[in-house]
Amino acid sequence: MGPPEGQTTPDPNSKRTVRAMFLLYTLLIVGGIALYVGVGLTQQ
Amino acid sequence: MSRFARENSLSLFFLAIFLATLVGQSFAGQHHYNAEQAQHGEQAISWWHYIVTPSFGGAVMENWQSEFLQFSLFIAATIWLVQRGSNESKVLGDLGLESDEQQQIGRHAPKDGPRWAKVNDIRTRLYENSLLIVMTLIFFATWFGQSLNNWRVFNEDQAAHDGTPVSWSRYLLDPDFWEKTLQNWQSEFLAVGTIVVFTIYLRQRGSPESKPVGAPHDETASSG
Repeated sequence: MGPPEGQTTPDPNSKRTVRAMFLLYTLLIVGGIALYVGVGLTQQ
Repeated sequence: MSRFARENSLSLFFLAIFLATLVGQSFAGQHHYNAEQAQHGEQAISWWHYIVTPSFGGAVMENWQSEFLQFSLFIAATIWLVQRGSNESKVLGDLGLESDEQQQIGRHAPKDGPRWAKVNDIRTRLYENSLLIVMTLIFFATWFGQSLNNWRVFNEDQAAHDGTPVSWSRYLLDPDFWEKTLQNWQSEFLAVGTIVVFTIYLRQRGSPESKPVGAPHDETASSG
């Protein structure tokens, strides 16, 4: 059975870049929270 | 356009405008901060210093938390609540968590579906709620970040005006914290309610956020 209508089978490279995008957003959010929770905890 | 850019254009676009506006906010914020420093006879600070001040951190976290609350509530509320005719609602008959077949869980999962959707044990229970769990965790973490940074700013203000510094837990009960919190929440709730209601009658050709242009007004969830 082929892929659903409107989709093509992604090649491994596409899967990697999509995963990289997910990781990039995750890092951005985790990094931002870590930075500003750190600032809030430490700055007098 | 490269294949990478074509396949990820939506995420790349929002990433680019997020970074541009964050940098813009930081420069505008630094100028505002330094103008206030000058008024109080204090030294101006550099951009690098400003971006690690509670003043900037509080402003960033304050806006982040309300966005993640908005999406968390929207994800949760749309499981159980519907709006007839809205593209943002599911159909009235699908209220609730839906069947395993509808959700492609366990033996209903396709061959290339996520592994945790197929196993049908505790991992599936976790995975089937993972979007809401993660968005809610980000909401609480950023709200916590807002409270810490705005508390530091509040106490700096108190010190500048010969006031008494307050503890973090005391600050959580202060009108300053709740004004900053609620002013962000109210705008998010209005925007979400508006997209729910406006997609009943209004259209944008080509956007999955809209029903197809010719879809009847009382048709719910036309774009899936």
